[in-house]
Amino acid sequence: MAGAGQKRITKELGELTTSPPAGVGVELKDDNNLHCWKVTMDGPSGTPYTGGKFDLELTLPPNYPFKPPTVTFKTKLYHPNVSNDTPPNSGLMCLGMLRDSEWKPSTKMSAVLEYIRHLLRDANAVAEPDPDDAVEAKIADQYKQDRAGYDKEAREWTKRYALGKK
Amino acid sequence: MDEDDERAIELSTIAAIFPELVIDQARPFHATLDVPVAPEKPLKIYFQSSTTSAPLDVLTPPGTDSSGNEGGLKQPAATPLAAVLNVDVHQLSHLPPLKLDISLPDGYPQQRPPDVKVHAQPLWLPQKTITDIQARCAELWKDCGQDQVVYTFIDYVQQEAEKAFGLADNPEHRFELASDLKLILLDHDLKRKREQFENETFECGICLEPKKGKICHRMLLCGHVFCVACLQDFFNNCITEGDMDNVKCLDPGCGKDIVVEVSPGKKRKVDRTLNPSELLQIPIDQELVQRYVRLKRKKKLEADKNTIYCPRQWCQGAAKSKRHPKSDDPLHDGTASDYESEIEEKPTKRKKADPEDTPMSERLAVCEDCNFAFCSVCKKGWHGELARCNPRRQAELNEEEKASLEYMQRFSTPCPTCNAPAQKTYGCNHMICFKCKTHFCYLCSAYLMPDNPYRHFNELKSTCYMRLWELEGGDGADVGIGFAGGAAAPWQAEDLENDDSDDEEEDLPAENFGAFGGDAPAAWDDDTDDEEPAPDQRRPNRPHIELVNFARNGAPRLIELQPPPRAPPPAPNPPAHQQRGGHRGRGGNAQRRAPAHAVPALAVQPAQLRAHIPGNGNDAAAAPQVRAAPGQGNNAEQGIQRFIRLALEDREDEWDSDED
Repeated sequence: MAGAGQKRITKELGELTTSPPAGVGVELKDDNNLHCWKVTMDGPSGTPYTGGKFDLELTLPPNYPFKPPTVTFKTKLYHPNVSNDTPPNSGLMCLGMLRDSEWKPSTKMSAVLEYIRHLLRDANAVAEPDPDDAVEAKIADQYKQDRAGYDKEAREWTKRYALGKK
Repeated sequence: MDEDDERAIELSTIAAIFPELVIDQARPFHATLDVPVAPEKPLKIYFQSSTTSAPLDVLTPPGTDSSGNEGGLKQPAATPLAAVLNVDVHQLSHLPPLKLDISLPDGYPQQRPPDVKVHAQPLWLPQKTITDIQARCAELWKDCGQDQVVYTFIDYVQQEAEKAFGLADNPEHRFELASDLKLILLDHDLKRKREQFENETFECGICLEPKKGKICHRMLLCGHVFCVACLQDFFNNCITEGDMDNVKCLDPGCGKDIVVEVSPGKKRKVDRTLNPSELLQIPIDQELVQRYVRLKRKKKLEADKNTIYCPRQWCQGAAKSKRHPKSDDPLHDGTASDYESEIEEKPTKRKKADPEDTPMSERLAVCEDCNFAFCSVCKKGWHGELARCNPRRQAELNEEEKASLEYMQRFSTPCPTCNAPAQKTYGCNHMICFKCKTHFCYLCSAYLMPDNPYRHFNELKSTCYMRLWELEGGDGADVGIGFAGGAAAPWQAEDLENDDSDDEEEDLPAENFGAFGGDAPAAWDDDTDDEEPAPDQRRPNRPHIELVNFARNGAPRLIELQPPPRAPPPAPNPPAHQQRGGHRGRGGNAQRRAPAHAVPALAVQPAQLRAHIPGNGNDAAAAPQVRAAPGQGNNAEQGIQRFIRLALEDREDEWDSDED
């Protein structure tokens, strides 16, 4: 089983490095560990995250793809679905598709990454359908009721945390 | 065969196009070719049931001069009703191939058309269609100017096969076949499909590798294809971890949107988990599939509020039910999907219903694990359809029955094994069930170990610590009347279904004890040995001593002493059979050993007994109960009394047996 999993990870990683989805870069954090990926994501244009570069860490469990991967934002980010708790919980993402009961082994990592990027473009995609997915309830409320305030705050955070390393 | 012959050249050209063409070496210019029949649109075939099967030619009446490829099948317009009701419809995409038997005669291609025969094995194609195809060959030969026509003809047959020979084109006439062809055709269809599947290549969504169909599995429900290795990995893992809900198709979107409206406004996700037989097909280990079936069933039982469980504490299996039948075949989950919606609805309907409304005929429940037959309403061993439950519905009881039930609830303890109620009329709280001989505690119904039943009362942790003698005088208002009185209690005179008078362990008349003890000597002996309570529970001030063969008469005698400074009372001389009865708890001694015929006044309570015993033990003659045993003088009696008194004061050494 491990062999099959490794093979699949190699294959997926190969596809993602040779033809990555727009605005997403994938590499191994450590060349000896296939299960820990370093992902960089550009803030999509037309959103408060524009211009920002966000680091994510993607951890694949040993029995991947039978168990879902976990995704963490390493760069601080103002978003209803990303925890801004103190470490080690900071940056944790809770996505429906990554939940144990919902996970389907045939979901590819590229689909997961595209979904995350989709969230950056339109937080509503999550804030609306499944309140369980909103880690930061306050931000989710603000997103729905005070969109301008939310935009401002998110831009602020992007400036503060995601622009510096350019 | 002449290599230069036009016919030989044509045949070898055809063989190059259709490698499967078989050129007959023995007969010149003769070849056969199997043309597969795989219609683009699956062919709908109505199979007649065997009883109404009509000969095939009835379906193709002669006299229809259809020209060309017009579907040659004509049927009587009115299909017999019976045939309509008994048909079995199947859509087949693969039919047995047509064998073309082509022979090119002398004079071909200029003067004579090829001689073709079309065979269908088995004969599933209507004869009319076959004749039409054969006739078409000559027409084609004419059409192409009497030239080489073999390829054109084969091409024509292939095209016709793709259109299923027009058999399904006529909406007014269904394509019917006799039932005996059904199995052959279905089997052929299945084999072809499997072959086709095995030769295809699929990308497994899990390992992302292209895999040949041979090592893949197509999900029966949705048709998604995964490789067997990945499915095994995943399902084995799910079943081992007990995650039964995930044993379904692994495709991300599969089955997500399918909901069924159970009732208006109430939607439910459909159970998309795999059938055990499909798991075996993949294949998954039989042992794991068994586990899968077992756990799935358990889950369903637990989800069903109407499941009745076995009242035996050590079993607690589910009762056999039609809704969740326990199959003998461990690989079959036994639940038809039709039941699903029922499960959803019934609990809401039945929740309000009084379980006691269950008709008598439906109350019998049998545990599927230990086969215990019990009543689903009163949870007692099955009492038959004619006996009512006990306790029954309050409304069904009359006043007397209510009173006796209430009495039983208040003043009896059920045996932990057989549930027979026991009422204590006297003695300690160590009980032995009269029915099943279980040792139990009267206070809490706990099992007691037969080898040391008193541990229960001597352990600090026990809730009954130091309570061996609680309720010593008996349980209930009317038990004080003594041993013989229990049976005469008014409530017991009622003709109860349970025949409670039998259930009362302790209320047997005193005379019965000798006989009873004789019935089961082993049990009684055990009891007698164990009867010695722990020292800390021995009641002070009530010493008694049994003297066996002390005096010459050889009769065992018992002398009950009042504590000093009161003089010991003279010992009664009890009848032998009462002596045997004395094992039932020391607390009963005073009563039981006071012979009723000798001292009627002593029959009731120890207090009363004491009141009647004269304070001065030396005044033996005045006490009615001090009667000399035959052959024994008063002196002997007094000597014993004195010894006992001395013994109580630890001065027995002072006693001289010769002093009388």
